[in-house]
Amino acid sequence: MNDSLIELQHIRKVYALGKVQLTALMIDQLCIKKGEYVAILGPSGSGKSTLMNLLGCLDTPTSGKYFLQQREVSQLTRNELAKVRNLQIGFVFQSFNLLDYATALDNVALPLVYRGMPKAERHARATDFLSRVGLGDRLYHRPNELSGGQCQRVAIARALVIGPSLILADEPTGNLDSRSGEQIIHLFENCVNEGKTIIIVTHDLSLAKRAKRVIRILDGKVESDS
Amino acid sequence: MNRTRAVLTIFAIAWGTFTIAIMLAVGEGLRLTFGQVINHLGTAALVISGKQTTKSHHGQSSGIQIMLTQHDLDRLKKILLGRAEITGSVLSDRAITYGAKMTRGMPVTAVAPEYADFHAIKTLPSGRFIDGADDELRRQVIVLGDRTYHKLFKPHENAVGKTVYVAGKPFIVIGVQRQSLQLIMTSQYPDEFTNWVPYQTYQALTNDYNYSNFFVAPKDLSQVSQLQNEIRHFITKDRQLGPDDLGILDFINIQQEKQKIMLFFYGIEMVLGIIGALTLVVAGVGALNVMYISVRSATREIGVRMALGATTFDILLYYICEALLTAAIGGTLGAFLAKGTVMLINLVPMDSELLQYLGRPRPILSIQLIFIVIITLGAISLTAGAFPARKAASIDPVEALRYE
Repeated sequence: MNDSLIELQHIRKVYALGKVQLTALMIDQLCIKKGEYVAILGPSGSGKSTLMNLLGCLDTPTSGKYFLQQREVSQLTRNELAKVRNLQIGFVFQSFNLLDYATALDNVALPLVYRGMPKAERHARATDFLSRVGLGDRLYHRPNELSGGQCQRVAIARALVIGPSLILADEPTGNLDSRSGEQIIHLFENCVNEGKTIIIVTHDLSLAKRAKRVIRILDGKVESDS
Repeated sequence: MNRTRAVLTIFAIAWGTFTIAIMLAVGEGLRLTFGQVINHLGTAALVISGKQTTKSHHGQSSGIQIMLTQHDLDRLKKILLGRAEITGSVLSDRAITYGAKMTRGMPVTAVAPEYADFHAIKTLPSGRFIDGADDELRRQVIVLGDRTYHKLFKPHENAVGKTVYVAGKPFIVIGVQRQSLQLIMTSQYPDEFTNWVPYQTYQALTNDYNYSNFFVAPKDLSQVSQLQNEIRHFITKDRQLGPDDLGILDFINIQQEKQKIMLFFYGIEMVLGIIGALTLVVAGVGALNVMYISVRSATREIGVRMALGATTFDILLYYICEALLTAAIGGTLGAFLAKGTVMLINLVPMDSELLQYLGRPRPILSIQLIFIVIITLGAISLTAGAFPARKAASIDPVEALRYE
C-alpha cells in the first residue's frame, strides 16, 4: 500500500448528453506504484483522455475514490485540486501548450509563480531544468523560435521543475518527427531511471511498448493490464 | 499578454479617453465662458427707450415721439429713490478722428460716471473711466471702446493722453475699454463698438438735453416688472397720455434676456453632455469588447495556467491587473493626446465675428476632468476585464485546454 502512488476504486465518470447518460469511464480497481513507467493505450474515444484528466486532477469522478499518495483527491475543491497539480503533477501535452509570447525560461518558471516563489529562485531553477533537457543555450528563445522537439523539451522541463511525484504525458510525440520523438522518449526514460513515475497516454503502440507497463483501455474499461 | 492584443486594448482606451476628454473640455470651456458672460452684465436690469404714442388721448394725437429728458431722469431718480438707481445715455453717431484715421459706425455715447457700474465697463490699467469731475467740469475727455482703439491706434500704442477729434472738437483720451464678453445687448451697439464722453460735456457742446436710453439698476431684482410699470405710469401721467398706451416706452428686461442666454447655454451643455455620455458608452463598449476578446482568446492559455496550478483567484487577479495596467497606460496616453490637442486648438486665433460674439470659447482641460475620465474608463475597463476573466476562471480546465 505504501509504495502505491495512484489508487483508483470504483471510479465512474458519467456525462449527461441531454437526457442520455454516457458512461465514459468505469474502472473498479487500478493501482500504479511509485517509479512506474506506464502507458495507457487505446483508440480515440476509448476514455483514455478522461482517465488522464482524472489522474491529472483536472477533473473529478462522478463516483468512486481516487487516492494520490494515499490522499483522497476525488472530493477536493477546484482550488485544492489546483494546489495538488501545482505541487505534484507535471503535464506534457501533445501540442506543448507553451505561452507563445513568453521565453523558454518564463514558460518553465510559470508553475513556480503559483507557488509564490521569488523571481530569482524561479529563474535559477528553470535555468537548471532547461539545461538538463539540453536547452541551456535557448533560455530566452520564444516557442516560435524553437523546433517542435525543442518546444516539447521546454514542456518537459516545465513538468519537471516542480519536482512532481507524477508526470502525465498526453501523446507527447504525436506532433514530432521520429528523431525528436526518440529524444523525448529518451528523456522520459531518464526520468524513470531517476525514480519518477511517468504515465504516457497514447494510441501509438510503438510508443506504448517502450513503457514497462501497458494498460489498454476500451469503451471506458480496462481491457488489459500487463 | 499578447502584444497585438495589448496594443489594441491600449489604443481603444486611449481613443476613448481622448474623445471624452475633448468633449468635456469643450463643454467646460463653454460653461466658463457662460459664467464670465453672466458676471459681466453689470447692475442694469432694465433698458428704457422712448417710442411713439399709439393712441389719441385728451387731444394728443397718436404718433408723437416720446423723448426722454433730464426732467424725466431727475423725477424718476426721486420716485425710485432707495429702490433703484437710474442713469441715462445719449447715443450719437459721430465719427472720431486721430491723425489721418477715422472711425465709422462706432458711436459716441454721452454718459454719467455711474454708467460704468451699470454696464460693468472696465478700462485697461493705463487709463480710467469718466469720473464726477470730468462731468461737472465738462471736460472734453473720452473713453475709447476696444474697437475704436484698434482702428485708430497701433497695437500696444498707449492712447491715454492723446487727443482725438469728435465732430471737429478735441477730446483727450483718458481710458481704453478692456475687451469683455457681451452676449446681451443693452443698447443698439455692443460695448466694444462704443466710445464714452461725459454727459454734461456733451450737453454743453450740443445743447441736446434729451436721452436715448435710461438704465435702471434695482436693489431687488424681483421688483423689475413693478418698476417698469411705475416708470411707464410716470411718463404717461407726466405727459398726460392715455394710461393704457403701453407702447410709448420700449423696455429691455435684461433678466429675461439673461434667462434666454442661460437656457441656450444649458441646451448646449446638455447636448454636449449627451454626446459625451454616448461617447463614453461607445468607448466603454469598445474597451469591453477588446478586453472580452482578449480574455476569450486566452481561454486555452487560462487552461494551461490552471493545469500548472493557477487557482481561480490567480487567474482573476492576473486579468484584473492586466486590465488596470492597460487602462492606466491607455488613459495616460489619451489624456496627453487630449491635452496636446487642446493646446493646439488654443493656438488657433479666433478672430471671426461669430466666435467673438460667442465670447471666444476655448476648450479647457482641467486635471479634474482628466481624472474623472481616467477613473470612469478605468472602472469600465476593470468591469470589462473582470467580467470575462471571471467567466474564464470559472470554466473547467479540461474544457479550457481543449479550446481552440
